[in-house]
Amino acid sequence: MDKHNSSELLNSDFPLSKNASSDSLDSDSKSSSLNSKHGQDSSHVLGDIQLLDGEKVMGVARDVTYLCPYSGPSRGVLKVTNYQIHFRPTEATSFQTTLSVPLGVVSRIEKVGGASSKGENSYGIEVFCKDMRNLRFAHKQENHSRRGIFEKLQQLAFPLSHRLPMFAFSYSESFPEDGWNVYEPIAELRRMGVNNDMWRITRINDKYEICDSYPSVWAVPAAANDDLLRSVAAFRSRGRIPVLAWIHPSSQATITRCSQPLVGVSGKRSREDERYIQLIMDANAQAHKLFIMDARPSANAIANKAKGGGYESEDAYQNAELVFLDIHNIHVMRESLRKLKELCFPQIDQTRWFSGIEASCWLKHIKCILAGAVRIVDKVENHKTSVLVHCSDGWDRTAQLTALAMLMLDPYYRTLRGFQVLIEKEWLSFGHKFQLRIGHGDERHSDADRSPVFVQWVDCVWQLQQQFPTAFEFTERLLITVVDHLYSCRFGTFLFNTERERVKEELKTKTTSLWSYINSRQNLYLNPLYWGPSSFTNSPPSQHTRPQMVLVPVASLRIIKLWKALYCRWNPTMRQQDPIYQRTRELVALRAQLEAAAAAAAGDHAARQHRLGLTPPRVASPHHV
Amino acid sequence: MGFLRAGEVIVGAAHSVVLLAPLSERDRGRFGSLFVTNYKLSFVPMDGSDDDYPGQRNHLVGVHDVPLTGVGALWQTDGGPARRRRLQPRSDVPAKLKGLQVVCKNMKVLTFNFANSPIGSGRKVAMTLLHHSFPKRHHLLFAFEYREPYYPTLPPDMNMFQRPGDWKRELERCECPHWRITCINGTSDGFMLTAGETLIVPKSVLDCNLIESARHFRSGRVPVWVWGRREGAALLRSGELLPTDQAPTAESVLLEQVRRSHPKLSPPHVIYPCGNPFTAPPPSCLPPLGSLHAAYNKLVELCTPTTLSAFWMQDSQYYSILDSCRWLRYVSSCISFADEAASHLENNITVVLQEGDGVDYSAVVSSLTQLLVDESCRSLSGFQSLIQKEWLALGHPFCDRFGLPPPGKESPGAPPRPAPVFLLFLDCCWQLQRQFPSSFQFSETYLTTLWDCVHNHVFDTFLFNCPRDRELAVSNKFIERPLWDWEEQFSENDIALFYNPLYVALKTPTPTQKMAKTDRPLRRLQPCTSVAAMELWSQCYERWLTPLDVPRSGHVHYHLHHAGLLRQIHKLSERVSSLSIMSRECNGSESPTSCPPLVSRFYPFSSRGDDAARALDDMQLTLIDASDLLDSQSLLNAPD
Repeated sequence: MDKHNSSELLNSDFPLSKNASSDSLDSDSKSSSLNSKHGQDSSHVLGDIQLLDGEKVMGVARDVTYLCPYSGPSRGVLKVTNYQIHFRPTEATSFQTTLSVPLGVVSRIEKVGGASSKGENSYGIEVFCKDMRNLRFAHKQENHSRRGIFEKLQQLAFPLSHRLPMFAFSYSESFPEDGWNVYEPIAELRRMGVNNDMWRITRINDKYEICDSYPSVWAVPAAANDDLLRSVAAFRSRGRIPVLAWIHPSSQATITRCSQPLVGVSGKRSREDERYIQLIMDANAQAHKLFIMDARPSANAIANKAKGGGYESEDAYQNAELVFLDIHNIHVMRESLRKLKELCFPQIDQTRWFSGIEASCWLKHIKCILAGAVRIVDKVENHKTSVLVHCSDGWDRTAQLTALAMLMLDPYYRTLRGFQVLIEKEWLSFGHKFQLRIGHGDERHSDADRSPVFVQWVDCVWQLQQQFPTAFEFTERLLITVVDHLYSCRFGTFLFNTERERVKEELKTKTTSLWSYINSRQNLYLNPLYWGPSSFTNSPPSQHTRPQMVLVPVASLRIIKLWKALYCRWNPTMRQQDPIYQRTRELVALRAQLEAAAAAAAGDHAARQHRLGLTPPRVASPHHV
Repeated sequence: MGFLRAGEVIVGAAHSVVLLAPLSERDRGRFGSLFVTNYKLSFVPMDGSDDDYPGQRNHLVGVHDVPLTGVGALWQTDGGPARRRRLQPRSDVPAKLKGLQVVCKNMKVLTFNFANSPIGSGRKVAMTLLHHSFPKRHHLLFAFEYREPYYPTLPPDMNMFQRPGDWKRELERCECPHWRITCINGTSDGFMLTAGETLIVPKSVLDCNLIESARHFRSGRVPVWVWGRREGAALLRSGELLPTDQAPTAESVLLEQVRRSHPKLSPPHVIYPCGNPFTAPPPSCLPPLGSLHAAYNKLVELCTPTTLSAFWMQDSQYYSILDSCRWLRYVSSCISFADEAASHLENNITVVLQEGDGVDYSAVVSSLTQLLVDESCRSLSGFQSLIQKEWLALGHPFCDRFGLPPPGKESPGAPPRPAPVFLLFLDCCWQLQRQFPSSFQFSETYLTTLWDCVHNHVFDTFLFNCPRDRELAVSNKFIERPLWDWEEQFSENDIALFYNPLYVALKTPTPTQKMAKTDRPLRRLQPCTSVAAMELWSQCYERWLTPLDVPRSGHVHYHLHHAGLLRQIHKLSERVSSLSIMSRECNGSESPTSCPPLVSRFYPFSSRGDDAARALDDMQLTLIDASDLLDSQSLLNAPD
């Protein structure tokens, strides 16, 4: 893997063939980042399969045919380990190399055809994946040849349903840096200047008793005492009270997040909640107003009243303005991505490509989320007004919006490390239900709680990257790697639903963090075009060298694009052919080399002249003339 | 207005006109005067000049000028941007004209309001514009009046394909000894009236055979050579067969000669971009010109909303509109035909493109094929030479396709069919550039500028239907003025933006390698041809849509960043060599970090203009090619 990579980066030849290396290795179906290793030496090569530390081969089926939708059938050996499905063709060709798919991406496994099915390759197994592809294997139609491997697959792909441990608990590779230390809630709040006069850090939820899906550390208005927090929690769905997500460094305008108020059909009110919202507003001296951004369509917000929820009435909340952002719920998003998969996999329907994109509505949803985040950014940045964001429970759409708005407002989150902090904070610590939404190791594939909410947010981040190619320290490759390991179950990062569960299961000691892996190979993810704050430390500050602090993307379908490198990645004809970054990296390397050479030459000179006891001549260097 | 060109006269004017801000309702705009000359439409704002406009500046046409041939359609409006009625050439204009909307061929929209102008002046200026923008006769175009002398500054490596010697050079460049030059077409026996005098045909074929066979091909378009490999495979273009009895025989006789011109005697492969007239058309074949024109009209509609609300309305159904206009489907078809042709050439099989009159889609596919297989076409002057060869020497009817009046006094039998075939070609080039960012010496900005300048009729390049018409005009004292003298129009800085900083030229083989007898494998680009891989050429079509023109966004930043990087590399290598050679201490370590450019998405075509690109001076670009520097082996040891 690493070998492949270095050759890819320094290859000065043109990748003229379709099989040539691509910049985003992760988009390569044959060598996905999923089975890549930190170091070649730490892996065990067992026979013909490369195993991770802690990985064991659990089942083997010979004489299996993999029916690749692009290169056609190929015969080989199918192995299943506690981590992956591994297929190796007996005769490797340039079209069909080894296939390795982590079991975590498996959504369901079905038998295809019966013992009496007619036709070649009609009897076998089909594996449906969460990452926009399906795998078909054909077995010999004798002696129930597929039974053993099918049962093994079922068991190992869905450990949760079979009371088995997840692979992340067996995986034992060690990395130079412990990624679990990337996010320190207190340090992150300090970075934003909390505690200060207006906001304080509280550990009231230390035992997760006030709210079991919130982190243990919150920042709340300094004027709100613990009793008030408790009463507010009683009026907010699942106790998810408004707490600080982000604070503007100069204006002190804030983004706070919460769940819907428990208004109900009768229109209940809570004096404490109203007072608390007023305190949030008062914590920002610049504005006498607060925007409440309800991520839902207004119809859904109203319908929620019947279930005891609802939204803040402007009568009860003085000086607050309620805005509905019209983002649909998890079920709509799931259906939308399903339609997109139909369009992209296995074959692209050329005749209805654009109308298919429209019909899937995926990009319209992306547009809606981006537009919502832009509204938040506009209020906070341009109007210096604080914004409170919620949806129903405040862990799906709310997380999308706050995390996206923070990414637009704060260049720190656009660095490699800041991005990890952002995910840890807004998604993991605030209890986005990764376990339920992804269904790690769970065989109930049609569970209504599954939804691609996080992937959709990553897509939004990609859209920002596309619109502002120099604003991010990392490239799309990082995003694809994050999505890959969202499913893979190799790392503990995305397991379980809440911080409370993760603490209880001792994830930090028993599993490895995805960030350990990523930070051990940072240079693969760095954007050579990045113009971030760090590139300006040497140059004198001026209006033009100031990095762009706030990104305001255009939420127009003319600019929002389909992320083909993610959704069409399995289709070999759709690969990026001549990656732009490869050449950029070459140029950057050349510059570094020349800088070193210049420094060395200058040094030599000084030394020589010193030896000769000469004073430096008072001549300007030629390029200063 | 600035100043008039030699031969330019003002033919109409209106004062106190408001030019509405793009995509605004009638509430925002600039006061000024609107002039119409025999060359251009010109708006002169009252609030001073646009001297500090940071984007691309054309020496011949100002920021608010449009050459008359660049006018696509004129609309009568109620003074605002939205309600409008099309004004037809040579029809009357209503007495009370409140507003006028000009939709340019490059999709720029100018909306004028005459509410404050003297009564009747709006109508007058509209009448003049209508009259002069759509002249009835070819010789009424301004190029015939323009008396400025011409001083050529063409690059020496450009081939204009005007003289037999030019074709000889090409034949030698391609090392194709089995083909010969014939000048029969320049004589009274000429059979291919829309092509130049020089043709390249199989060595074994006699001129009299050509004359004889030409009767069976549309427009006399027998297969002629346009490109070849030393190994034997060649690329030919021809017209469709006429439905005569002997046509198939005539064709097979010629194809047999083509086969004999291949050292391995392999038979040629015929590609029919519009379908083979004798079999059912394949689904991917290119449409009749009328349908292409219709597709283009829909594309124009999609890219020229006149109000913000119309803009957002379109946005909500953007992809279904894009689908229904089919433009990108045609783009993808052209690229896949070229890919097919290139793969045959790669396998050393000769390809014959056969289509209609042999001047439209065959030109597109043939040029694209050469871009894929011949890296010299991907340099800037190579690309211009390619256009000279495929589009001008072989007679693409630019007048007819652009809707200009045809040269010559009598109108020909068939009415001219307008169709944006050349734009289709430029769009395909852009898609290839997108897919292979370091393979082309010219940039996206170059292609967009080229499309703008195609409609500047001071230049003769795209003004005629065929070389004969041009020669006829030249014999009547018409001054030839090729578009390729870019300094005529643009400053050095603007021209610098035409060059792709990422471009790496492939190594030209050393003479010893050239002598070697072994066959060289063809290194070709393998584009992705799926519709799904095609994108809308935003810089060309959407650059006037201000809501999209966001600072610091867009692809232009790749360009500027890389140009800055090259500049630094250049400076550093200068310093390194000065240090080692001149033995002089370098004064301090001047930090090479340069600033991020503050430009917006559609720079240098940004219509924002105001604040966007002041900081660019530092980025202003030098034409450094780092490919030599990059060659150094040491790079292979550099950290990634």
